[in-house]
Amino acid sequence: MMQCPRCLNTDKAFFYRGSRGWYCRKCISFGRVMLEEENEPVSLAPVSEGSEEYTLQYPLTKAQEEIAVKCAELIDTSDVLLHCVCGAGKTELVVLSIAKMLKEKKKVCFAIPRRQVVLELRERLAGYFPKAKVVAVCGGHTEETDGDLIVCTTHQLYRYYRVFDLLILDEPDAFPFRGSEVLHGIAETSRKGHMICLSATPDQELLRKEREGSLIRLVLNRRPHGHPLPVPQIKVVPDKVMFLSLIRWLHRHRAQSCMVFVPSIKKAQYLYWFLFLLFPCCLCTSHTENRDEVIRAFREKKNGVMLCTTVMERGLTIENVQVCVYQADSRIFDEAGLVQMAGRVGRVFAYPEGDVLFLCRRRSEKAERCVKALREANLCAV
Amino acid sequence: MRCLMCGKNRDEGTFRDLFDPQDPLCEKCRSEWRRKHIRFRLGGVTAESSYVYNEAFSRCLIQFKELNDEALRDVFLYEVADRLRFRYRGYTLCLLPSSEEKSAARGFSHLRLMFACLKMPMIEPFRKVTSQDQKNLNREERLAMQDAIILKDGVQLPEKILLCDDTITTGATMLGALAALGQKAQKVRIYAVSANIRWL
Repeated sequence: MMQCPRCLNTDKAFFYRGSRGWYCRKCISFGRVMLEEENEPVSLAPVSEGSEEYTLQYPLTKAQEEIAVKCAELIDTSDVLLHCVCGAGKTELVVLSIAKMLKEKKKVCFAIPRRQVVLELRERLAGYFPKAKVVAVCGGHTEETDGDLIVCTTHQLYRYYRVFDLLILDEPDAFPFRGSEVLHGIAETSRKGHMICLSATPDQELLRKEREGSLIRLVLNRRPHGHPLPVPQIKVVPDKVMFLSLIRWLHRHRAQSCMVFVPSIKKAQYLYWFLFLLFPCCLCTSHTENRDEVIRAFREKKNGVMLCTTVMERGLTIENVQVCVYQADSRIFDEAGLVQMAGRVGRVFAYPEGDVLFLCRRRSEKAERCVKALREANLCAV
Repeated sequence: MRCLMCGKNRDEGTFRDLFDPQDPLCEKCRSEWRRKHIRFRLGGVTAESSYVYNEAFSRCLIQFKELNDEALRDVFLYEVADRLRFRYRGYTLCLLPSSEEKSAARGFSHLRLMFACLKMPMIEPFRKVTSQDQKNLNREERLAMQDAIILKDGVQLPEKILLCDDTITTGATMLGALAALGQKAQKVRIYAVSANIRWL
């Protein structure tokens, strides 16, 4: 049977015989891979001496410590899923495992679906590992692709065929990684060792793997500051009143930063035209070109309102922020996304609590499931 | 059968499949291309093109040329092949050159594959002497590159020549080829599969 060595595709309809032999068309956007030719594993420079030394900004809590040690033990023998609530410090949990691998002179990669998060995470990891060379590889940053510790988008993993002894996959349930067979295949073939998945909302695929026994799940339901997760309040209001409810809510929180999630870019723009008359507003969607700058300004302002689409739902930490999801029953949002949006609140030690509001046009099962999941997590944490 | 661009399964069939079941692209991908037969003068010669060079077309062309996806060879001329065969009967297709390094890296001549479905006589009489990539050049720099195309030594040119290329942007390559031909050919026409929107 034919199989693409890179994306593991076996569907015959995607293979084509060109002038030099068979190749796979499913992953053609990453360059052509011939099926019959032998693919050499990419070789990278060895890990440099002393790169495993690390310093954390805060010491880990007892619960975190326990998980981190267990994870570092397990990765020698099996894949691990770290199922932790948003803001539980997932990155810090794997630092121990990374250090252990680096000490054994093994290559580690941290892969994330979103480009925005890659650059931010590089800075953080470079702070934790001062002696290691941490490189970020993502669109626009591809001149240097080799270092002691590689942080990249999941798209860039095609550069590393059978390289990594440890692949850490952050948020595998996020777009565009979720549901993309090609990206899953590429992630699979970029590693020769084991894998750690970090997720607050693991999908069915990961849970199935756990049931089969090929993956061990470690659960952490408590944030480091020990406070429970903010549980969203669901408010069902008629279409025409929703805008007024939003204004009322924003007015109540006018002294704090507020994020308003909107289903589509167009809606975000229209809402922006209205809201900027009343509140210090900014707009942040995938069409915003200077996104980094907008976020920085929003952080500094302390009492702004940010209108954003689902691009901003993950990997963003802002002090003292409140979240409202406008038209939360829209089919654009899914349960995992709603959990992530609610998870933007109360991530900082100084402001461990906050307000989350879901505005719906009608009862929505997704929103209710999200609330239930968060309640359960809070119950298990005690 | 799957669409060659979006990979969607097309066994179900659409209304168009009643009349046109062989198209390698699905209805949606095909509709993104903007088909427009235009004729214009270029260097004193009549030129014709069939599509507007838009985003969907360029995506397809890049996948074919740069990512070496040979499966797309028949996609480009599928709709216009009969028309071209009729209009240019008696002509010899004369393919414009790629730079030598590029075609060596590619392992095949992309124009030869693309125009093979016309089943017309084909020659490649030109050679490109510089290897600079045109993609990153502006209009003036491109026009200055006209001398970069020369005729190979000892080529026998037929009487009626159709200069073929995948796309016309500024026309610099075509003008270079025309200059290289000089007075040696009796009748010359130009055909490009797509043309930049400014030729409209």
